[in-house]
Parts: sequence; structure tokens; C-alpha cells
Amino acid sequence: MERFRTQVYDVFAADHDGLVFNPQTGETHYLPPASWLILESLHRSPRTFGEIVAILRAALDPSDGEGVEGLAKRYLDELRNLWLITTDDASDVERR
Amino acid sequence: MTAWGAGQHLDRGVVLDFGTARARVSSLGIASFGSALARVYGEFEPIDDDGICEVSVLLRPVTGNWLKKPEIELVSDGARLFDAFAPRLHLPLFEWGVNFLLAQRLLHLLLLHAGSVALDDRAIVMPALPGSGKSTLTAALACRGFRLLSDEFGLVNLNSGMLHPLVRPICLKNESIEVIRRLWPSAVLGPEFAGTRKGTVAHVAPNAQSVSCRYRPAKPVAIVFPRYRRGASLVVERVTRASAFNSLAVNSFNYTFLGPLGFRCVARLVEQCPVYRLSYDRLDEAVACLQEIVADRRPSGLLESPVELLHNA
Repeated sequence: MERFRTQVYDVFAADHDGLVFNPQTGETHYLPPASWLILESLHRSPRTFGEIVAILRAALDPSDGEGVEGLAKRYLDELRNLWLITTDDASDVERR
Repeated sequence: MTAWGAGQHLDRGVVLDFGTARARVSSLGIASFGSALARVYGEFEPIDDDGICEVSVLLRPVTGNWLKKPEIELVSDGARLFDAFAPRLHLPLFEWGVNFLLAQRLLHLLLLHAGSVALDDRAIVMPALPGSGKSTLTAALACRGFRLLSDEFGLVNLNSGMLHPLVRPICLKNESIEVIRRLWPSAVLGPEFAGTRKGTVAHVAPNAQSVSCRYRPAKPVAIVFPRYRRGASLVVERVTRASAFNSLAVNSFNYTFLGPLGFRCVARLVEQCPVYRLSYDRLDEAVACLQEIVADRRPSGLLESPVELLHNA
């Protein structure tokens, strides 16, 4: 099963959000709460999509219209586009 | 060592030691530059040696175009910095030129664009955009017993997190000159220079206490984003740590260059120091507030609900 992982080391946690130094690009990114929650959880260990959805579901307002799965996919895509996370997927390995 | 002479001549050059960095300065045939320099660096002993300097500059007249009005230029390492200035603006050209060069050369430190002052080796860093009253507030604190670390830079040691002094004159602009003259009658000010790109400027000479302590780092204990608001009451607010981080990084001259070292340095600073935004009109109120902050007391009237900073707004 595909697992998401991160290799960033330099992170700064604020109250519910945080900043991360991206070693791939040399940039610093501010991450709002949901993205930060995902990154922080991946910082501890790689996780599957289902596990990330469960983490978000526990933290977010369930009345959100977009649905937790949709949000998780969007945030993961954003993090992947910033080169902050990768997956075991072959295309990601190739990108790296 | 040597001493400033009357009508100081700089054709052979002298070295000024600011604490964290040294500059060699020389000039050729620029009337009154030597005496202006001697006035605002009066507490420094100009050094007459060939030691290593971070910055070496020469002020000289521009030659080769007889049709133009006389101008002077600042040359460093054989290259001219900035457009030429009118000869009467020698000291502003020197001060801005040296600031520019130091911002490019002290790359072993995190360079914040900030005023920094200390009381009993406890330092306040005041990052700010131009026009926020940073220099005026720095001068006001210096006249109330704080030692000047720098009017322009917060120099943070990447390893220890300590703040290093870079003691140089405080550049006041326009109305601030008269404000500080009234507040601090014994302050030594250099000549006023009208018609610069920042209006009229004058430089406050660092006092003896600041100069004698210029090799002694201080521990940062608070970060305060000042903003002058004419006619406004004093407001002091906490700042969210994430936006404080962003604003410090934006305010740094070399954050991007330092990469992960810069990230860790800013993170440590924000973690170890409370961060405030101070909006003020009256200098005496602002100084009293900063005296409470540096003494680790809760500033009077603090609004607890943290605010986000948007580019230091």
C-alpha cells in the first residue's frame, strides 16, 4: 500500500501551525493548521492515505463541506508539489 | 592607536572598530568630512594600523566631467557604490555605504534589519521597516540608559544565539532630529544634512558606555516590532509566533543565504523570546513599556490576544 513520507528535519511548531525549511529548494514554507498536522504526523513516521484521513477527521470540524477525504487529498497534493513529502510511488521516486 | 585631530585628515586612512566589524576609511580632498566623522565617532579611538577590516572605503571627488556639478563617490575594492552624491553629503554617503557593505559581508551571523539595545546585557531586538520609528526609539532608549548595540542591525550569533554589538551612529531623519534634541539635550549630534534621499538626516554619536562595551554580546530577551502612529495611544500586543518567524525572516538581510542555519537561528530566537508589537506616539510611554519588557515584567496594558503581523504592518 502506498505510504506518504517526509524527509524534512528543520521544522518550527507554532500554536496550531508551523514553518518548515525545505532542504530540496532552500525555501521556508508557512503551513496552516491542516497541512502542518499532516506534515507533523509524517515527521514521526510514514503513513497511508487512510491513516492521514483518520488523523484529519479527529482534528477537523466534521461539518466541513468538502469532506475529509477531499481535504486530505488536496493538502497532500500541495505538500507534494512543495517537495515536502513523497510517496513510494514510482513517479515520485523518479522526480527525486 | 591615535586620536582624532582638529580638522581630521583622512588621506592616509584610519580604521574604525565598531565591535563586531572594522572599517578602514579614507578620503581625498573632501572638505569637512574628517571633522564630521570625528564628531559622530568621538568616543572611538581611530586606529592607525594595517590590520584586517571587513570593509574598506574611499570617498573621493568624481573626476572626468567638467560640465557637471561637483560630486563625490564612495569606492570600495575598486568599485563605486551608489550614484554619486553632492560633496556636502559626505557623512550620509559614508554611513549608508558602510551599512550596505556590512550587510553583505557579515555572513557568519544572522543579520536582522533591526535596532538593538541592551540593559544589563539583556537585549531587545526591534525589527522594523523604514519609517516605523526604529531609529528614533533606539536613540530614546540610548538616552535612558540602554546601551546601543546597533541602530541598523540585529546581529545574531548562529551558535550561541547571542546578540553582537555593531556600534555606529544612529541616523535620525527629519522631525526625529528635533525630538531627540529635546529629549536628550546632552546627546552629541553631527551636522544636519538636508536634501538627502531620506530628507534631512543627522547622526547621534554613540555614547561612551556603548562604545566601551562594544565587544560584549547581550542575550536577546524580547523581540518588539515598533510602529510609530501619530496621535495614537500606546498599544502593546503579543504576536503569534508563526507570523513573528515570517516577519523576522523577511527582515533579515541574509536569511535565504544561510539556509537551514538561518531557519534554526530564527526558530530559536522566536522560541526563547516573547514577541510584541508596540504601537506608539509618545516616546516616553514607549520607553517605559520597553523598560518593563527588558526587566521581564508584564508590560502595562498588554493585550493578550495575539495578533498576526503582515509584513510588519
